[in-house]
Amino acid sequence: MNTLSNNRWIFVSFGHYLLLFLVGQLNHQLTYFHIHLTITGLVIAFSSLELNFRQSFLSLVPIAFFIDAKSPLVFGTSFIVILSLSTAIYMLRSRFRREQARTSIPISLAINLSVFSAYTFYSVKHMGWDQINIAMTFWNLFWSSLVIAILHPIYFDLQIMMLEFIGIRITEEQRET
Amino acid sequence: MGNLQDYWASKTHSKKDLFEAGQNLARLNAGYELAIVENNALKGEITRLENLLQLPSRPNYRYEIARVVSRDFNSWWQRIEIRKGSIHGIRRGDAVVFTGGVVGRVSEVGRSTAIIDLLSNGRLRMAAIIEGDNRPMSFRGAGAKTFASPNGFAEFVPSDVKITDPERPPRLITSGMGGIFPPGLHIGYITKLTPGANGMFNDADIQLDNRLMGISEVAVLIPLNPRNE
Repeated sequence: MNTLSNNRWIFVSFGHYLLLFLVGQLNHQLTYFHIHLTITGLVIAFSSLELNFRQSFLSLVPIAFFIDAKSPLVFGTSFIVILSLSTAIYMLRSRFRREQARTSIPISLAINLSVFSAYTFYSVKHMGWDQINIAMTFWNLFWSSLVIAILHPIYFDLQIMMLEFIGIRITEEQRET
Repeated sequence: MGNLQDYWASKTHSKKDLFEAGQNLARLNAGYELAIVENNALKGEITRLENLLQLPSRPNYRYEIARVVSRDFNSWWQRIEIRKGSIHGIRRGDAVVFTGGVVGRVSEVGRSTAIIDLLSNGRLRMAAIIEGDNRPMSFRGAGAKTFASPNGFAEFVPSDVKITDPERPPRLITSGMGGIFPPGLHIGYITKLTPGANGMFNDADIQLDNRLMGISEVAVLIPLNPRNE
C-alpha cells in the first residue's frame, strides 16, 4: 500500500494523459470551427492543489514533456511554464480553501489564463506579432475556460475516485493535515 | 570458334524442336505486345487521375499518400500530423498536397509519423505567381479566423493586378521556384489588395481552401532525385 501511495503520481499522470488525449481528439474534430481547447490549467490545478510538492512535480513532468513534444516551440517551454505555475500554486495554496470547488475552479481558470499568456508570449518572441491572431486567442481562451468550468468538478472527482480505488484517500489526508 | 560450335549444335536439333522454340518465341512476343498495351493504358489512367486530382505530373516526384492522425490548429500555429515518416522516404521540407492544391510543408519527421506546417501557418513562406502571369511574389500563411476560411498573405504583388470581378478573383498558384513545390499548384484566391509599405507593390489577402480545416488525407511529394541538404 505504501508503494502505491508513494507512487500515486503515476496514476494521476495517467489520468492527466488520458484527459489530454481525449481533448486532443476533440480538438481534431473542432478544427473545422477553428476552435482549439487548451485545458492545461485543469491538469496543473489538480496536481498542485491535491498532491504534495514531490508527487505534484513528478505527475506533471511527463505531461509537460508530452505537451512539449507536440508543440513547435523550443523544447522545454511547456516544461518551464507548467512547473513554474505548479510551484507558484503550491506555495500559495495554504492561503485559500482549496477543497471547495468555488475556490479551485477560479484557480484552474487563472492557471489556464497564465498558460495562454505564456504561450502567446513565446509565440510572439519566436514567430513575431504578425503571426498571432489575438482575436482567435481570446476566442479559444473563452471556450477553454468554459470547458474547464464544466469539466473541473467531474475531473477532480474522477481522479480522487481513481486514487480511492487503489486505497489512497486524498480527502481524509487533507482533513488530517 | 563459339559461333561455329553454336552452328553445329543447332544443326543437331530436330525440326520439331525448332518449331516449338519458334512457337515459344511467338507466345513471348504476344505477351510483350499485351504488356505494351497495358502499360499505355496505365499511363493514360495516371494522366487522367492526375488531371482529375489536379496533382503535378509524376516524372520528378513520387506520391506517398498518408492519413492525417491529428489536426492542431490554434491561434499560435497550424499543424497536422500524418501517419507516415522517414521509413516511407519522407524528409524534412518535402511538399504536401491534396485535391485542393498545396497543404503545406513537412517540418518534422519521425520514424513513422511526420508533422506538416499548414499553408496558413505563419512560418510557411514560398514564392508564388498569379495564374497567367509569371511575375513572382512572396506568400506566407496568416493564420485562421474563427468560423472563416484559413488565410494567407502575399507581398510584392504587381500594382497592375486588380480584382475586376469579385466572383472570379485572381488565383494564386505555386511558381516552382525553390524546387520544393512543383509549379502550377493551387494556393488560394486574392480577396483584397492594399498598397504595400514601399509603394511600388501591393499586399494581398489570400483566401485558402476551406477544406484544409477538415483535411483527413494528404499526398507527400517525395523527389525522385533528392536535393542536397
